[in-house]
Amino acid sequence: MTKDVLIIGAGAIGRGFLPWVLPQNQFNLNFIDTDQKIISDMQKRRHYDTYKIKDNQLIKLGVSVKNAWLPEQFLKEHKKHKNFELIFVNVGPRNCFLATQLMKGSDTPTLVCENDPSCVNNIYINLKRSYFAIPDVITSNYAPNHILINDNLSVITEEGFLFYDDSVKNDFIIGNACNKTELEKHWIAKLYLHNTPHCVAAYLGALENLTYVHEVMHVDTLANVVHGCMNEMLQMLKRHWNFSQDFLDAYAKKELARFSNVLLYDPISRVAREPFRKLKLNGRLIGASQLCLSQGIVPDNTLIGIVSALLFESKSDVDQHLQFTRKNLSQHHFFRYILGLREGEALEIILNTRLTHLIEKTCSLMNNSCNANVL
Amino acid sequence: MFSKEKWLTESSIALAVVSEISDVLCDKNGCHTVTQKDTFRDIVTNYDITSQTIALSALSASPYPVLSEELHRETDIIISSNETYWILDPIDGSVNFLYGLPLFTVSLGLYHQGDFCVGAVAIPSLKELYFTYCDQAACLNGKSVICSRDAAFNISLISCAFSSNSHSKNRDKEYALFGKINDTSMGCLRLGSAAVSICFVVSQRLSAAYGLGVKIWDIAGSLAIAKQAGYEVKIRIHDDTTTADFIVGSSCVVKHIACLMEEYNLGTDHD
Repeated sequence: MTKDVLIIGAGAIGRGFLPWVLPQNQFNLNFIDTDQKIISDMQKRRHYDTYKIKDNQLIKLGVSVKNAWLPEQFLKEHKKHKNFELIFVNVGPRNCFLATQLMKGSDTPTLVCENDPSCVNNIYINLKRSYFAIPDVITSNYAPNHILINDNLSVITEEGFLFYDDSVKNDFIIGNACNKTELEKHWIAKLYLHNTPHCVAAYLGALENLTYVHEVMHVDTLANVVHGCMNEMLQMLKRHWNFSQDFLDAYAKKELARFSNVLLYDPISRVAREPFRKLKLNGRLIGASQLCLSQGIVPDNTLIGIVSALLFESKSDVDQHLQFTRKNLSQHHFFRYILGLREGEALEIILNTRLTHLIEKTCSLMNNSCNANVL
Repeated sequence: MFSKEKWLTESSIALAVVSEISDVLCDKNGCHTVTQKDTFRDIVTNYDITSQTIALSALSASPYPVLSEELHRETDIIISSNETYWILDPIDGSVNFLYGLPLFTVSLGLYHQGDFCVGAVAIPSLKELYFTYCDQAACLNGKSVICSRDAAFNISLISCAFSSNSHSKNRDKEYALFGKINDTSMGCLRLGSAAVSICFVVSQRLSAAYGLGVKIWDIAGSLAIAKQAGYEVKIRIHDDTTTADFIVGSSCVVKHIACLMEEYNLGTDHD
């Protein structure tokens, strides 16, 4: 007998990846999203296609939609929908708390597929049985035009893996149930071997006015920085956590191949979005650099990634005020208040003394003229 | 109202001035000289004077007059809802600052035709910088902040500010109101800085903050930020135009506090 699953967030992961790990002969898929067009189309058609890249080909999966709601619609009908087997949350860390208020008080096991393990604690007040999950996959919200013409809900994903807390073991999920130690190892690997070089590639690509991440990997000067960043992360992970070299090398090789995959159509605008979050103190850029320095590694390429992020400008981004903030704060105040760096710590000293040089170096990598406003 | 360009310009000025002054308050190795004003708790330090001097210099090119605590003593500006003013508090929480407690701010707001519309507040000891960005966002250390939670009153943590006038005829009622709120919520704190209290609402540490008879320069900057972040803001400026009552927070809690104030014949009676 099929069980109902609720997917909060019908974006790249929710709509594109999760149907591949939730066989439809076992699960009925129900979606909530704030995007009126997506929900309206799902309600009308009750079906869409998602694609997976395998062996350089696109494989199609037809997805049946049992229900699709806007949040306010779901709340009206809430009392009818208590019996979900599982809940998945994938709305982005900023929206996590609000989104999970929809199911406040529920004791349904919830897998939180966000790029931030602290989200699990943040939503505890709403959903008491929340557990961390890692969709180790690149999924794009976009698909090429010839696919979208036939189905505007189509998404392209690569062949990824779902690692999830084995407290929620379910024999029908196609994924890897892990104990907390194993899950933490995959999280660390994902953060530093995927997220760090991935966003470095995206910010470099944004400066070069490219559209997709794979385009960045086909520009030698930019690809060298991404490879260099990956090497810095490998060294850091080995020294700090002593993960097996085979595991690290295999992971890095997989990631670099992903970034270069021309079938993925991974938009730079998606990977580079919300630069304040990407620049947070313990995160993929600043935190990664600090860990490198703590291990005696000067992360020259990751620093170029930080500078590229600082130069990122997008009027449609929620962090569109990044340049406003940069221009109206002194360098010293920007480091203190925005990046959270302490005066005299290693990364602060490096950025303080080398920022101009780093900006010049970043701009020299570009073919297009680079709008390098020195802090 | 302002054009977008003007709004952006004034937001830029507020952010730049407040961040510059925050350095003065971080460097506390200098000698404190303290003068008492109207009451023994109403103090001004050499840091207030230095911060104000820096701010006035930075704002000298602005067409708008500046109202600040120390200037008001000399000039007795009465603010008008038809005009535009910068409202500066070089240190809100001077007693905290003097005693080494980290809860003090430097605050700058723009009051434009009856509305607190631009603000920047730094809490230097906590490395927190709050500011408005144009008419689009309120930010804490760069990240947008938005009112997203509405808690029930009985699980809300609240902060209050009393007027510095200990001889106020409403003093007993202020204390009674404080007690009532303290006993029916998670607690009512008195942090010693109205601006810190409002900023802690914006950063979702507190559900609400209220103040009775507080100085307008204490709250101008932070009120603009709270409004921009989507919080409910109730304010009543007194006839002297330099003191005000306010309530800021999530809408349910603000409503509850406003009702309690009515019961005690205190406080705001309009937004």
